[in-house]
Amino acid sequence: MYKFLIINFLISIAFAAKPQELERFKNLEGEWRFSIGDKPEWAAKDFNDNDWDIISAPNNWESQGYDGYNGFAWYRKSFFIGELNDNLPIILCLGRIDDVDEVYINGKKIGGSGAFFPDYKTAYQEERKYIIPEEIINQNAENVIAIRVYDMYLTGGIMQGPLGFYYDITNSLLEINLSGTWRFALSEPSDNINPKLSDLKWGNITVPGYWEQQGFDNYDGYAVYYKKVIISDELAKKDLVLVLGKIDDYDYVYFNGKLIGSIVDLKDEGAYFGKGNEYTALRGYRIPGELINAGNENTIIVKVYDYFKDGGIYEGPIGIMTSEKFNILRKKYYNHKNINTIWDLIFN
Amino acid sequence: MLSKTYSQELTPIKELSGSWKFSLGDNIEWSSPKFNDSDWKTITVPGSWEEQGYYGYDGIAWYRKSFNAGSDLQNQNLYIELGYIDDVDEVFINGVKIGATGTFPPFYKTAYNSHRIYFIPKKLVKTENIIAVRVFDEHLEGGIIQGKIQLLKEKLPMEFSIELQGYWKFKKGDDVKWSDLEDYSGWDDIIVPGLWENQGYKNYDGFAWYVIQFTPDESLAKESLVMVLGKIDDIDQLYINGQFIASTGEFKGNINEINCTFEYNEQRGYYIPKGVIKPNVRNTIAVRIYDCRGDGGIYKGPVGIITQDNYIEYWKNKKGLRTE
Repeated sequence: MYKFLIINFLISIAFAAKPQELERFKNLEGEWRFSIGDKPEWAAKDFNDNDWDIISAPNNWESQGYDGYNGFAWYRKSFFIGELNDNLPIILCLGRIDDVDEVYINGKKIGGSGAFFPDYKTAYQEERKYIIPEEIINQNAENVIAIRVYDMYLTGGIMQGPLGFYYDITNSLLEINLSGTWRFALSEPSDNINPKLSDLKWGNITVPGYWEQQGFDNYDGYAVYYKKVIISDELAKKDLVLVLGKIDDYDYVYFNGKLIGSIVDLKDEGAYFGKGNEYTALRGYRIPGELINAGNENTIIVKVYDYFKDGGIYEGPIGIMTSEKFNILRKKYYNHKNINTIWDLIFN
Repeated sequence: MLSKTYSQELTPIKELSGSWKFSLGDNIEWSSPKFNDSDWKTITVPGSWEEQGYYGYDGIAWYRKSFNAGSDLQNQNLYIELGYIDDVDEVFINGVKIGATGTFPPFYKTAYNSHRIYFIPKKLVKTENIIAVRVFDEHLEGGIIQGKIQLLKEKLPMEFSIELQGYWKFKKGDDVKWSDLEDYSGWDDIIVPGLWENQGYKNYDGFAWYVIQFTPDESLAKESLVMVLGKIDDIDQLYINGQFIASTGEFKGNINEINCTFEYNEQRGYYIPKGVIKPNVRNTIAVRIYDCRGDGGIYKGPVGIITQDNYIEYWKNKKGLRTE
């Protein structure tokens, strides 16, 4: 059994490693225009905020003249962006915001965390990371970011950085990028076998991303992700790894109907990183060459079990990598000196 | 504690210590500005009446004092600070009751260690004004015994469209249907702001509801409005016309899971979505409160409805005051 595992399962472990390798190309820390209150027109790119106050972020607003203020406030900032690198996904990092936020770039809503009243939900502990579609940003031009914030009590605002626009450079290691829309269905427990797909009620979901943020609020339990991928003859000759970023909490991964990996079995073999920390592990599963339909469609099914709070395939990179590049990825970003990973057994 | 709470926001404008008119006994007509107190004795405030010729007197007595309000004092909300009163008091300005602390017999509850500061709505302030204070002392020292006796004004008043400090309807217990009843006439009266402990509900912890109704005109209903509720002990939810608006603290189905910590010290300003307030009809504001322990209620102002623009202005000016 152990031999089977080390050939087929590749898992590495990261405690405090950076989730994605991000490279900041626009710093947003420093002075922001600020006003308490809440008006929809403040989202607009050309709203004139000249008479607004100026405060600095990250830092709470209480210590900047608004001691005791609870409720809505907006932050605005304009910034110049040159040429964007077309190949790299853009991530907006806004650190921690207390309690709820909604973010607009050039007047378009690009994301938010928590929920405003009447269905209030704080997100003060969540690190804000929003994937930004490239077309929202005006290249070689001025852009405006506007952030609507609600604070229920105690300190409020954009509390903690870093703030800025980042490229997700881990994605550049992928041969095939599978981020984006996947088919998705909730399912029942089924002894971890390949689920009966036809019985499920399918919809779409964006990967990576928590399902809580995509219409399945408070869902804990099983769900199935499904995606088809064409692998060229040339690529099929290489030793390939299916990379699924990070998953909250357990995963069972099937390639053309065969189980190729799961964090659960690995756990049984002792290559583990502490109870309750499944969600911190980078998932990378070797695709056995004989399973690949070269030049044709292949199916990937990921069954996920979430037992607490947020769930799903929540963080990239997502896609197919050669084992060489996967080695670069995990050594550079996910190595933990105190742990002999199963990879070390396989690759060294 | 209250004086500390207010000291940053209020500034003294008229000294009221010294000679006051005084009478033993009890007559509600003594609250009236028309009552002639020229044959009453005088007494020095602050100071116990035991030390001023009434040794051994326990029971009810009244204090009266007049003050002139020039243009500098009119057209703004005032506060009156009466230090410490032993044991229970009730305060009238020009015949209108503005507040009370403790409970008079037969359900007597002392409040000798509560600091007195009462809100005087600007509409009550005239050129000539009469303050009348009804005091009950159970035993030992009695009267307005110590502390600062003065009028104060707000350093930075909120420009409310509707002032809501004063009498509200009040009921102990909990039922979400209470957020929008046809008729609240069977409910108790309570003064806002003020702890409920000082208004007949000593040692009460748990749920209670505050309700007030008003009729706004067309132009106000069109505005973006904010409901300012000052400070509340401990957690609260605001309902307008039966619709839940916002809260501070977390209400849970099982009261054993409700956790009160710092909420009592947080300022409430709830943004009212447009369309909730209806013009030219009676609107109902209901505040559901849960008090975990100790003091309870809407205990500190200001309380009222303000336009968002005036609210923004207020916070801008407040920052300006602080950084001066």
